[in-house]
Formats: sequence, structure tokens, C-alpha cells
Amino acid sequence: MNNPVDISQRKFFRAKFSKTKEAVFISHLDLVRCLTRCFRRADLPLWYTQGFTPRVYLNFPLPLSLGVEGEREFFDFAVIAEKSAVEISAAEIRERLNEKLPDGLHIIDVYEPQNAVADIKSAAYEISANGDITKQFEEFINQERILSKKHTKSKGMVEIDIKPYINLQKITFETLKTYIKIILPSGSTLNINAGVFVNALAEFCGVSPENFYSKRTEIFTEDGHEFV
Amino acid sequence: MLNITDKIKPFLLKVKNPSVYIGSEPGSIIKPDADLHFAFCFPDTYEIGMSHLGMKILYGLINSRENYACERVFAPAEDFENIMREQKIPLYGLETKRPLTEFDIIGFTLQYELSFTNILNMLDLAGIPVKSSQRGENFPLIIAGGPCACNPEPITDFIDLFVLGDGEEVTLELLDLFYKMKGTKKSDFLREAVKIQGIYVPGFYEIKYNTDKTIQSVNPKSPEIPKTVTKRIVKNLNSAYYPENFVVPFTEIVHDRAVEEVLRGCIRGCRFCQAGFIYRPYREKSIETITQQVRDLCSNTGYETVSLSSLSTSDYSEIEKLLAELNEYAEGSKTSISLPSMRIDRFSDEILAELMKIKKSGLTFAPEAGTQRLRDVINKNITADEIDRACITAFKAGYSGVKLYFMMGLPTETDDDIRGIAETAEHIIDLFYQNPDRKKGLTPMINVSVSTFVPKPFTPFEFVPQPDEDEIRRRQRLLLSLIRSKKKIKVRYNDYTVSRLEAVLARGDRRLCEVIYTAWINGAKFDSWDNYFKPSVWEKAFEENGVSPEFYANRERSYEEILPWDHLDYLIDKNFLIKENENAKNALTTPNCKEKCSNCGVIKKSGFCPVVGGANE
Repeated sequence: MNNPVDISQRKFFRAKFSKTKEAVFISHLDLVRCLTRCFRRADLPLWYTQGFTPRVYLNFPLPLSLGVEGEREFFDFAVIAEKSAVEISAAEIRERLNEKLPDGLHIIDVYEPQNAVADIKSAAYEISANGDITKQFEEFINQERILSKKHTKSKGMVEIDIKPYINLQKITFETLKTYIKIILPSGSTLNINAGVFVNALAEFCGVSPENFYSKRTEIFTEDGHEFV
Repeated sequence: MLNITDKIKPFLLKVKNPSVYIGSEPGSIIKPDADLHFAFCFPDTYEIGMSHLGMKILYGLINSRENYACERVFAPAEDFENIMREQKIPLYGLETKRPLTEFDIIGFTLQYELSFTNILNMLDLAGIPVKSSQRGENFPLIIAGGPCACNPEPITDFIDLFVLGDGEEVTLELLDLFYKMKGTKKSDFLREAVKIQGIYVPGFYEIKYNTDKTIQSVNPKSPEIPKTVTKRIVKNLNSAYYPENFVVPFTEIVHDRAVEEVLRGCIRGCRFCQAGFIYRPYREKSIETITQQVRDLCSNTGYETVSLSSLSTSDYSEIEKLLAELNEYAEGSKTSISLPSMRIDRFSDEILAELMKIKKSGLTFAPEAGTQRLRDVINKNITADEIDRACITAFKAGYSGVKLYFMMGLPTETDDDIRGIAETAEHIIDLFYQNPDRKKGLTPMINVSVSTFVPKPFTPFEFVPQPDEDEIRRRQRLLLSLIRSKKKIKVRYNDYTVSRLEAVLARGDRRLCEVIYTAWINGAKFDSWDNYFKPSVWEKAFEENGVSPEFYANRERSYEEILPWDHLDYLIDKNFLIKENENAKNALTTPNCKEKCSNCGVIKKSGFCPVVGGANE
């Protein structure tokens, strides 16, 4: 089963995709499994890592938390280009995958990666809730410190002040809902995900975090450009 | 119409595994505008139900009709059930999120007796009265099929109609009739439906009891109703419907792989095994059909593993040739093949070699009983030598452990037979150390799993008592005390009270309907799950209804007694079962069907058995 593959034959791609509707309830691990099978269904030979237990090479630069919608998300993969076969184009990969993907998952684009994963520095989110909470939010954001619990690899759960990291873009109230647009630090050096922000906000408002709906709208590199 | 999707969304993050409640998995078929809506209900959780092959077959079959829609429904886990009840969200079909009340027909599959309370709970979650008598014309028709439909008497108060036997043909016949008669009264439909072979409507029969509580008579309430109902069989598995695609779950389920059924029925005739009798006759698919179906399934689902499923896959006539052909395909497509059910006596170096090429999974053997005498009683025709050889082969191939299945409480069992279980395990440890090529430093590990025997209808043991609680517990303690290598042999056995409930329900009659209802009202559900099973609730339910569980579980039946399922014909001759039970008492074995026909009744009643030939199509 583990036939050695000529590494020069593999070709790296990055897919930009959206995760919407019911698909937001697919966990990260389940998404990886689902995509692996979609590649098989689409007859696109994924490259497997050549270790003792070969694993499919499918990398997510910034995995999305369960329950968060994603408008422009990314995963990297490598396909094996068979010598005899005509080289498969990025556009064809996109088309063939979209044909096999379930409702709520959609590939927007496939291309050769430009940025390194480490280039990711921040991400934009849109947090929404029913009703007008603009007043409450003003009080929330004007606190001296905004404490929230965050999971870290070295120390487990720690409480940190996230106020310096919240970059508020806009808050609006329309069609009976409040929309909060923020940018949070993301990536390997410092990562504050939407959940950390929402938990603090929910606690402040005295409601459970499930009352807020989170959507990640964009991922940025250092200079504020979209990650590509 | 109330939009269930929007109603559940705010709550999905509060539950474990939300993806099991949203549908839209790859391979799911969504037909909101069909003319006939069928809800296929599995009375257990998604992770278990989605592993079930029968559902995949009937799901594909019904949806293969353009104007019929089949949707999937499972029992929600407790966290989501609580939310559904609090928020008044009715149970719904995963495909269109349509509430169950808006389906035409709701069908339950009866895979094990301990799922019965879940049926009531699911109906209740849908806002449907659990008893047929309270449902009236406006509620969907509730039907059920599957192995436990061979004695459906304990749930006849809740189900309008049962389908007996293989479902591939009769399901569409039934749905076609329903479609044709749509809008007519339920009772008119039911009277037409029983003209189809394999359809049993319990409401058309009257049961009378003797003063000793045994059954006096079972009679149709009117002359046009058949006295007995005969199960359906699909004669040719090569031409029978088989799905080309499965719904592929997002979450990991129990059997997360493609499944190819290679044969149906079993030639062995192990006397404790209900499946071995109720799925007769033995039918195989051809190698061509199997390889084609495997290719289709793997390429359509994207699964990386396919399992060759049946009651005894190693009995397949050309198993070596089949494995060789499939391995060729598997190697080229990075797919692995798994063989879930192997018999010890067919476990050869060649089969092991083929298996090893693909994947090194755990090895499980089922001697079922600890001594040759008791194995002869149950007609598990394998010898101690064969067990030894299989283990030696496995150890040579580098395995350091095997899992062994045994049963306790089998008819005629003595303490010597319990001792035999311990000795078998100890002997296998010795075999490990006798292997000169074993890796130094490796310790053998033998997992011994012992379940309590449950006598089942349509087996030669349908007459015999299950030993009582004190006796089983004594034998369990005895077994533990007899194990010497406590670090290398791990013994696990299941709780007796669960096995006894299973024994009661398996051979129960209609007087158990009220017991099940009472138990469910008082909170019984997921009875097959250790952490949910509530023995005291059941005890109280038996007491309240004046029903003695011992009458059903621990009583010997005479051959003359009318058994609750005698009016259902599974093509097995009762005289054959009696003869087999007598052979068991004398430890006389019966050869398998391929060696010699034992006249079980299938040929006489249906004229069809491919093993004997002649009438083969």
C-alpha cells in the first residue's frame, strides 16, 4: 500500500474555500476526513507523507473552530502528478472537488501558495447577536481590562487581558441584529480566536456564548494584505 | 411549516457531535418534493445506526424510485433530546428536516431487542402517540422489519405492520400499494397489505391464553387473513438491489467503511445462533458482482477501507480467489480490505497472508464454549486442534494476542465446561511461548470475553431455559477463580440482568407490550448501553403489570406448547428444531449444509436452496 513516490512528481496547491450553512457544525478533524474522501471521490491522487504511518498531506494554515462560519478559509495539499497523465490544472481540481463536496463547503479558488503559513498575523471576524446590544458593547469595550480565558500549549487555561488585541472596525444594528466587526491577532506567534472574544463578551452581557454567531471573513498577513 | 433547521441551529454548539443532527453528508439524497415520504428510523444513536448495512440498502432502494423519498432518523443522544423536549423541536428526518408527523410511512429496523424502548421514545419525541390504538388516521403508518421481527409480539401494541424477511423486494411492493391506495383508510390498506407475502399485521390476530399463562391459540380475526405469515427471500443476490453509494458521515462512526455483503445466510447451523437460521437459505454473490460493487462503492464514497460482510465470510466458496482479485484492486487504489467474520477452521496461512498484506488488525476467534463436548452440543463444529492451529499461525505471523469469545449458561453446561474456558486460554499462552521464532520480550495477551447465553426464537434452543441469576453469577466467579495467568488473560463478561431482559424480550408475547410501555414511561431507554440500563425500572414494570420475567427467561417449554412466534413462518421446520435440540442433549453434531442437507425445512417449504441445488435460479 505504501509505494514509494518520486517526490519530484508531487505538486503543492492552496485552496481557498468557504464553510457556511450547516457545514459550520463539522469539526476540524471531521473536515479533514471529509476532504480526504472528497479527493478520492474526485479521483485526485493526494500525496501521502512517506513516514512509518503514511498520512495524507492536508494542512490548514489556520483551522476554524467548531461553529464558526468561514468566508475565505485555506488548506494546502499536494497531488501526485502521474508521469503518463496530462498535468492537472488548478481550475480542474477546483471544479472536480466542488462537484463532490457537500452542501456548505465550497472551493473558491485553487492556486500555488504565495505566502508562507507563518506570514499569517491577523484575521477579521463578524460577530452577530439578536437584538440591539450596541450600548452594552460600548460599556464592554470601554472597560479598563477585558479578561478572558485562553488555552495555551504550555500553561493550559490562563486568564489574559485581551483589550490591547481587539481592533474594533465597526458596530452596527440593522434588521434586528447587532453586527460587530473586529480584527484579532492570529497565527503562530499570538492567536486570539473568536471564541476567546465571544466568551468575554457573553459573560459581560450575562448570556451564554451560543447567543453569538461568529464568522471569520478574512485572514491577513503582516502588512494587512489578504493571505494568499 | 416550522423550520427545524433554524430552530436547532442555536443549540447545536451545546451538544456533543453536532454534525450528526444536520444531515447533508456526502451521498445523502434530498427529495423534498417526492410523492411518498418514508422515514427510515434506527432506534439507536447515529454512530451505531449509520453503521448498519440494511439501512444503506433500503435507503438506496427506496430513493432509486424517482417519486419516493427515504430519509434517515436516529435516536438523539440525551443532551440533544433534552434540548428537543425543552424547545419543543419534534424529531425530524435528516434530509429535509421534515418532522416525522409529515411522513407517510415511518419504518423502524429491529436489530436487537434492547432497542425496543427507543422506538417508543422516538415516536414520542415526534409527537406521535406510541400505541397504534391511539393514532387514528392522521398519523403516519408505523412499520418495522429486521431480525427481531421474527418475534415482534412484545411490540405489537406500537407497530401497525411488520415486514418479515429480506426487504429488497417486499419494501417496494408495500410502498407501491401504499402509493396506489393513498388517501384510503389505514385499515383498508392493511387488509390489502397482508395479501403481500411477508407482511404481518398483528392487529388482525387474536391470542388466547391458558390458565398456566401459556398460549392457547393464535387465530386470525377474519377468514381472509392468513393463518401464518411466511417471510420473504431474495433468490438471486447478483440481481438484487445493492447501493452503489453510501451516505458518508462527517463524524467517525462504529464501522466507518464501505461494506460489501458477499453472502447471505449461513451453512453452519450453530444451535444458539438465530441469524444462522432466520437468514436461510445460504446464497452467495458471484466474484464478478462483488468486485464490481466494491469498485463502485469505493470510488463513489471515497472510503479507504471496504469490509467483506456476512455471517461467515470465510465460508465463501472461492474465498482465496476472491481475496486475490480484490487485493489486486486494493493495492492499485490504496484501499484496504477487511474480513470481519472468520471461522477458526478456515483460518489458513493463505488467508492470514492475504490479510497481513493489507492491514494488521486484531484477531478474534469465537470458540463459544470451553470443551469439545459443549461445542458439540451447540454444533459449533470446531476442534481444540483447530483453535490451536489458528493461534499458532497467528503467533508465527507476529501476533502476540488474540481475543476469544465464549458464552456462559449454554444448555447442559457444567463446571467442567467453565474450567474448559480457563484451560483454553491458559493453553494458548503456552502455545505462544512454544513458538521458537517469537520476539523476545513480547508478552502474550489473551482477552476472554464471556457473554451470557440468550435463547432465541427459531433456534433449536427456543425451548430451553436461561440459567437464573445466582447460577450465572456463581459460574462467573468460578471462571475468574480458575484463571492462573491473571496478567496475561483478561476476562470480561456482561451483566446478567441485561442478558435476562434480552431473554425475556426475545421470547416474549403480547403481554410484554404493557411492561415495555411502563418501563419507557419510567425512563427506560438505550437499554443496551451499560450507563443507561436501569434494572430497577424494569423490575418495577414487570411487577406493576403482574408479569414474571422468569416465565419468559428461565422456563423450559414443552415441544407441544404454542410459542408466541409459531404463526410466523421463517421456512424453518419446528420438527427440525426439536430434532436438533434432542441432538444437542446427546452432544451429537449436525454437518454443515455443504456437507449434507439437514432438512431444516427451507427446501420443503420454499423449494429453493442454492446449496442443495436443483431449484437454484
